Amino acid sequence: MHSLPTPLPRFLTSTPPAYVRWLTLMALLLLVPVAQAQEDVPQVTNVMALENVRVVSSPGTVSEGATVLIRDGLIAAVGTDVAVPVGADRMDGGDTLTVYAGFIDGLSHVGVREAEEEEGSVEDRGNPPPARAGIQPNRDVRAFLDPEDSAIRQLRTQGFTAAHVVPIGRMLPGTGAVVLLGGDDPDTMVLRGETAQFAQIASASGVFPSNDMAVIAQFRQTFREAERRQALEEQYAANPSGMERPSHDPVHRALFPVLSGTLPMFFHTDNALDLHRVLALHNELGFPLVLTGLAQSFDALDALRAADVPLYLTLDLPEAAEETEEAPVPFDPDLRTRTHADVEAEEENLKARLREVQQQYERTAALLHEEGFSFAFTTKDVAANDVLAHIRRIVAAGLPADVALAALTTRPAQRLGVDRQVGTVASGKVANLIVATGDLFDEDTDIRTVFVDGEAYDVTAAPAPDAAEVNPAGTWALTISSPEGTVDATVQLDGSPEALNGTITVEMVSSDPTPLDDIQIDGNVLTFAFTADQFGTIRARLTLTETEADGTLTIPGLGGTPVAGTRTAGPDQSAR
Amino acid sequence: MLSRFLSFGCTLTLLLLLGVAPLLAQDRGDVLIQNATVHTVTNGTLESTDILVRDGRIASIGQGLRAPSGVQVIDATDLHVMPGIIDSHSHIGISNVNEATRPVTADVGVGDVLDPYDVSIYRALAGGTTTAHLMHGSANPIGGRNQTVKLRYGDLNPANYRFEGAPRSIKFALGENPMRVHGEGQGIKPRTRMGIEFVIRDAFRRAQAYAEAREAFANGERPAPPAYNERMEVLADVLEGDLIVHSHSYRADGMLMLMQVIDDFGLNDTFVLQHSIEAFKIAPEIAAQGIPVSVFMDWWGFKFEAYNAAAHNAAILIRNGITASIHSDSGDLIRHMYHQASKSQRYGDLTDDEALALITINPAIQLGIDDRVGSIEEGKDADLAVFSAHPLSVYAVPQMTFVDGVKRFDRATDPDDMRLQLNPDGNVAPAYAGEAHSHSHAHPFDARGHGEGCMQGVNLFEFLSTK
Repeated sequence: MHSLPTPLPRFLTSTPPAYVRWLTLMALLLLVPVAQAQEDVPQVTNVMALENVRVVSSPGTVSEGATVLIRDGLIAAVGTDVAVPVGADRMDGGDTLTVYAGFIDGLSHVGVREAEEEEGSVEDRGNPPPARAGIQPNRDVRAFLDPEDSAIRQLRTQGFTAAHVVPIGRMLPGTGAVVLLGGDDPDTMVLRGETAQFAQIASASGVFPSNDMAVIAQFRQTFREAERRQALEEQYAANPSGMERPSHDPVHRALFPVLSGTLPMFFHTDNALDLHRVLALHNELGFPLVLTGLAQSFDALDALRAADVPLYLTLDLPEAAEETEEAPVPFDPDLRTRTHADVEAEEENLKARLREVQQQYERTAALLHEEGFSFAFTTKDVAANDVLAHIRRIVAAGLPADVALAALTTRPAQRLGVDRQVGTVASGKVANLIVATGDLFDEDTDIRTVFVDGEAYDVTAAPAPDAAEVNPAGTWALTISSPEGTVDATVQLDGSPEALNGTITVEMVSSDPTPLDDIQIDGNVLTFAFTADQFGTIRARLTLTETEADGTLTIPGLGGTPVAGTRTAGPDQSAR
Repeated sequence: MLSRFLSFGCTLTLLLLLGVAPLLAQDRGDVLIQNATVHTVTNGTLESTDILVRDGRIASIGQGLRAPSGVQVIDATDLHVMPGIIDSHSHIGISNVNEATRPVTADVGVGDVLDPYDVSIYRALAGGTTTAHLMHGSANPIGGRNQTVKLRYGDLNPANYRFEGAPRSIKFALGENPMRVHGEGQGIKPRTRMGIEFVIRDAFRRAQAYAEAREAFANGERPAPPAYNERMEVLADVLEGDLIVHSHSYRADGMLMLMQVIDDFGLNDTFVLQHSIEAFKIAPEIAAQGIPVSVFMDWWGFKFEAYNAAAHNAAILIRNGITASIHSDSGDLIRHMYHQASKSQRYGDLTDDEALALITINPAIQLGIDDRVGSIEEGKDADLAVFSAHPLSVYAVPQMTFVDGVKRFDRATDPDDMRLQLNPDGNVAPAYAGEAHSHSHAHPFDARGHGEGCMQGVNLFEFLSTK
């Protein structure tokens, strides 16, 4: 395992921690006339006591009837004999509310805004500028933090209080940071920067590298050239006399810490093929590797064991298999149908296999645990609102709850070098807490409140949508982009925002309109699904204005592909 | 191992246990095939003959051989055994075919994107094929590297498909495809057949200069190495004769052009012509330069440069002393290679051994693996195809296929569902409708599912621009 560099003490980081903000505020209170302060500055209480609560301070460590005292954004005390100061806000747990350390997402794009893509034609599409090719290791996610991202709120409602975030991009999007999922200032969100170089087998659009094969070739090229440049720079630093000065090259230079083994590569994989390809690159180029994603890793256990690298398992799952009243007939791997009369039996058998494969994905975490692998979790490929439900399915499928909790708290904290600040309910740590109505892994339990950096976020009352509401009814002309080109599609929506129905027609895939399912509009966010025989259920998520749509299509096993377009008619069906 | 699997308590585990795990655990097999008609290809046809396979190799061929204890015995009375079929031109089992963004892509290789889950591999085994030369597409004058693989279907690790020790190879392409993709499509060279020659010669010269600069640094004649260039590294290896050049070609003038270029750079020993529909017109010239040729048996007319064809092409090449082979270039034809070979008897009167050589020893020679496969000889790999009748008969049905002595196909016992994975978000309709390939890495605009088996693994955009 490649340990991360020790984080700097908080007072040395560029991020003003919560208590500094509080101190500043206190100073202001003291400096201004008292009367004015009472009028202009809202009364704040910086002490909060959670009393009569059950505290799961770390996996397997539980105390009943305890008190958790939060002061200035930190956990001031935890225990059964904590004195609550006068004037503290109090929350009575009635001996049923349970306090957990806030979850930590091992890898995601939550709270990260997408950089403007370089548009326009490229002079030589076989040799595009690095940014267009997706080679941007010199970017830092801290430049792209967006506290307003609605996914922060959504992930918080699932119990997440911190996340290891990385820039959105293609093969080498940039370096990551651990951020707190609260507050309104990008800088105060940052707990720790330069955590990892993020990488994925993700091709560029219309330019080299336009497919997986070329991305792998480009990794070789980029690493070998970085090695060459690093050697030259070291040589020049040792003795510049008589040597041509190496040119400054921020792209390759950003990989020097990876080449030196001090910065790990967080390499994301979508399936077993990806996993083998990344491991092959790792063996060839020798970079310090952390594997994330790992869907279908049940097919590659031997390779994973041989690699012996830190793992972050995806919380993405296929849709749950339909529950049936009777026990389903198991898949018969030896079934041989020989006449047309047996086709029904064959189809039933195929359905049984599909059901068992869906269960196999749910069981991946339990399997990895049973096989002796230690892993944390990543939400990167999951709709934020589904995360807790998926965690519960994974636990129900056999992953011990304590292991799940460790994979969501102590393990990621330790691996990401922030375990002195977060990951357990302990005095002196950042007050990142979940207050739940019972056992978090029980599907009947609700999360009542989540604390991030000491600030309480009520989970039960979701804030109103912050964007203007759009009536999506009408006709939308959309363009679906892929590395190989684009395809046009037309979406027709009818009805009122509360009861929408509609169809999609995708050029070259189908000439007939396909009915849409699960059509919903939430403010200005339109979601719907449709089924294509070859791919299963495809989900769309589009952010709308009155005239334009922009978002992604999520195709099973393939991930998201961009889709954008304009309204050509409606809501009143008048052509625009 | 067993208890670990059983502890899952999951039926799918049973599948792994019964179906796949034995293959994984034992990728070199032992078997005794008794009393077969053995088509050795290089040593005639042997009646009532046994083949003993030990540790994946052919240990002995003869009569009255006895199976060592524990070795499975197969009674092949009335059955025919031939060497596992070798397809010198295929695109199955790979996630990408073309990187078409520039005219020279020697830096990419399909060996990096092998896909063991592609059920086309199993279908090929069901046609007696055991080795395939998986090629980059034909979008570029100098395409990517190819990969020779053994069809070890059931093994989930892509690395285990590589044919150990097979020479590296690279795809070149002449004619309409690169002209259309780059010239018409992007307005860059090559716009013409002249342009293709220029692109290839220019790339070779740049690679020479790169290798010289690298050499100069090694000798202390320059202070720093040249900027690393993966493409030039590969092309420098091509010029060293470390990779075999397999060039897509249709017209005779294009072939003669490239033969001249290859001769100029001293690469005659590492050069194979592919497709080569008009090769029969220049058979003496090809023979004089000693170039092997791999052709379609009777597939033509799909574009202008592919019209001037003859079904006698393969036979004419053979009669001119050229090492000729027949390839599939298709996930469908790769299941019928024995039918393809048999047509060379109808069109050209080849002997049985000559016809079988088109799909066995000759492609093995072209791929540089004839010391390991391509004939039934003691010491060679036990890659064997068992047929119900003479493999060149239209009545022949493949019964069993062995790779390294491991049975990877058995008509009598294989179950319906031989897929190694399925998309958990999918539905059963594709498999039910005969579209069994998993789509977990397929492209949304993939041509699959439109009834064209020959486009398997080739997405629509790539296909339209490169066939």
